[in-house]
Amino acid sequence: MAFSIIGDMFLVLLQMICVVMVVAYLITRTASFTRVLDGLVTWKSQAVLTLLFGALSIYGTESGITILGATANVRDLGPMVGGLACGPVVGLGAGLIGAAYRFSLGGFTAVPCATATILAGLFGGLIFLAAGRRFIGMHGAVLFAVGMEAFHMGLTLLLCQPFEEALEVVEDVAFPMIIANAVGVFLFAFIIGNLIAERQTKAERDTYLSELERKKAELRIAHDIQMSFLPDRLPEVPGFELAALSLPAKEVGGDFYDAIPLPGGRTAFVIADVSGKGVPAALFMALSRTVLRANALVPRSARDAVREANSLIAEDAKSGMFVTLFYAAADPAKKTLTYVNAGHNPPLLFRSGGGRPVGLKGTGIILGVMPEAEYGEKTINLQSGDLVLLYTDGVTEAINPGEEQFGEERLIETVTDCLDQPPTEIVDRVRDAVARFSGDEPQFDDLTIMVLRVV
Amino acid sequence: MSGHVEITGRRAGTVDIIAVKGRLDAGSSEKAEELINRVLDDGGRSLLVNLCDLDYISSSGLRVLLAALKRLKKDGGTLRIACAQPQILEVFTMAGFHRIFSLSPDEAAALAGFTAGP
Repeated sequence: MAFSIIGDMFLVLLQMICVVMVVAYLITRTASFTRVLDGLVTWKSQAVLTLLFGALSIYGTESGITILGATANVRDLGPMVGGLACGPVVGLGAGLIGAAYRFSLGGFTAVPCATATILAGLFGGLIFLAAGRRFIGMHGAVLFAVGMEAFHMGLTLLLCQPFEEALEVVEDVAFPMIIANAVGVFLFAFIIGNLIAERQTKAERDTYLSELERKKAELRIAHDIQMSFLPDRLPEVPGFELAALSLPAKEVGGDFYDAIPLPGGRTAFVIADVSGKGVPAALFMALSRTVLRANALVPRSARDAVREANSLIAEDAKSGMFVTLFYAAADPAKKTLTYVNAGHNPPLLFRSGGGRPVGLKGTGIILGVMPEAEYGEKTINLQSGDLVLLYTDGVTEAINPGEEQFGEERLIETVTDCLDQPPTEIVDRVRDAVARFSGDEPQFDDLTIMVLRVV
Repeated sequence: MSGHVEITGRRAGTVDIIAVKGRLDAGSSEKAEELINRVLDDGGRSLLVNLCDLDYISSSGLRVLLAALKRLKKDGGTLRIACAQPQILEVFTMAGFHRIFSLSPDEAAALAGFTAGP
C-alpha cells in the first residue's frame, strides 16, 4: 500500500516534471525572455511573461497531486521563477493571476494560498533586484523555493481556522509541496543556466569571429592598397629588357617596385621595402612611392630626387617606419646607370663577360629616419648583355624547414644558371627556387624581384 | 618560423639594459618591442641594448631599434647599442644606422657613455 502511494506520487511528480520542463523550455525560448536576459525590459515583454508565468501558476493549481486527500501543488512555481528570472513586475503579476484563480476556487485555505502565491512572485522579484537585476543561479533559486514553500505552510497554519485542521493539511502536503516546487524551480534554473551559458558561448564566438573578420578585412585592404600601387605592367623601356614580380606575404609588408619614365629618354628603376606590416605599412608604401615618383619627375639628379623624397617621408614617418630603397636612373643613350642605394640589399650586377656579380652597395641611409640626410650616387657604365638583379630581403631571407636562409649565394647560383634566358624567365626561376627551398614554410615576408638587361 | 631569440632585461643604476641573443627577425622582433616599450612605459630614459650575442638582424629588428630611438629622443632619453658583431655592424652600415645610433664596443664602454653624456 505504502509502495503504491509513493509509486503514484512519483508518477504524478514525473508527469508534472515533464510538463514543467516543456513549459520552461518554451518560455525561455521566447523573444520576450531573451530580451529580459539582455537587460532590455519592455512593457510588452513583461506583459507576455506575466501571462505565461501566470498560466503556469494556474496549471500548478489544476495539476495538484492528491495525497491522502490533501492536494500538493506547484502554483507558486510560475510566480517564483517569473520573479527570480524577470523581476518583481512579472513575479507579482503572475502571482496575482495565480492567486486570483486560486481564490475563485474557494475553500478554507484560499486566503493563505492566494497570499503565498502573490508573495512568492514578489519575493522572487526582490531577489532578482538584490542580485543586481540578474537571475541568482540554480542553488539560490532552489533554496528560495524550499524557503518559500515552508513559509507558505507557516502562513496556512497562521491564517487558517480551526488550527487543528490546518495542521493536518500541512502535515500531509508540506513535504511533497516543498519537493515538487523545489524540483520545478531546479528544472527552470537548469534550463535558464543552460541558456545563459549557451548565449555566452555564442557571444564569445561571435566576438572572436568578428575579430577574425576584421583582421582578414584589414589584411585584404592592405593587400589591395599594396597591389594598387604596383604597376599593372612595366613600361617599354628603350634599350632594356625588363621583368618584375612581387609576391606579398600573408601579413602584407610593403615592398614595391616601379619604372618611372624620366625626361630625356631616361628611366628610373626603383625597388623598395617598407618596414612594418598591415595597413600602416601599406599606406606608408603608397606615400613613399608617390613622393618618390613626384620627385623623380622634376629634372634633377638621382641623389637630389632621393634626398628630397627622404626629407618629405621622414616628416611623416611615425613609430620607426622606414623604407629601404634602391633608385637607379638608366640612360640608354649614354649606356649608364646612376644609382642611389638607401640601405637596400645591394642589387647584383652580372656583367656580360661572366664572373661573380658585383653588389651595388649603399650610398646613404634608409629613408624616413633622418630628414636632413644627404645621399651619394654612383654611376656605372653598362654594356650590352649586362644584367641587374634587384630584390628585397624576402628572397634571401626566405627560410626552409631547417631554419636556414635562402641567402645570397643560392640566389647568385640560380641566376648564373639561367643568365642567357629572357628576364621574365629569370624572375620565374628565382621565384621557383625560393618556393622549392622554403617547402612548407609559410612565406614570411614580401618577396620582390626585378631583372633588367641591357639589350 | 619563430626565430631562436632570448631577450632579457636588467638594470644597472639608472640604466636599463636589454640583451638580445640569437635572431632578431620578423618572428621575434615583436617580443623585443614589447619589452622595450614596457621599460620605456615605466619611465626608463637610459636604454642600453646589448647585442653581444646577436647573430642576425632583419629589417623588422632594425625597425624596433629605430622606434625605441625615436621615442627616447622625443622624451629626452638616450639609447646606446653595445658590442654589435661584425655581421650586425654590416647591416647597420648598410642601413646607415651607424650614423644615428651611439655604438659602443662593449657594455662597460656603453655604460660609461651614459654618465659622460652624449
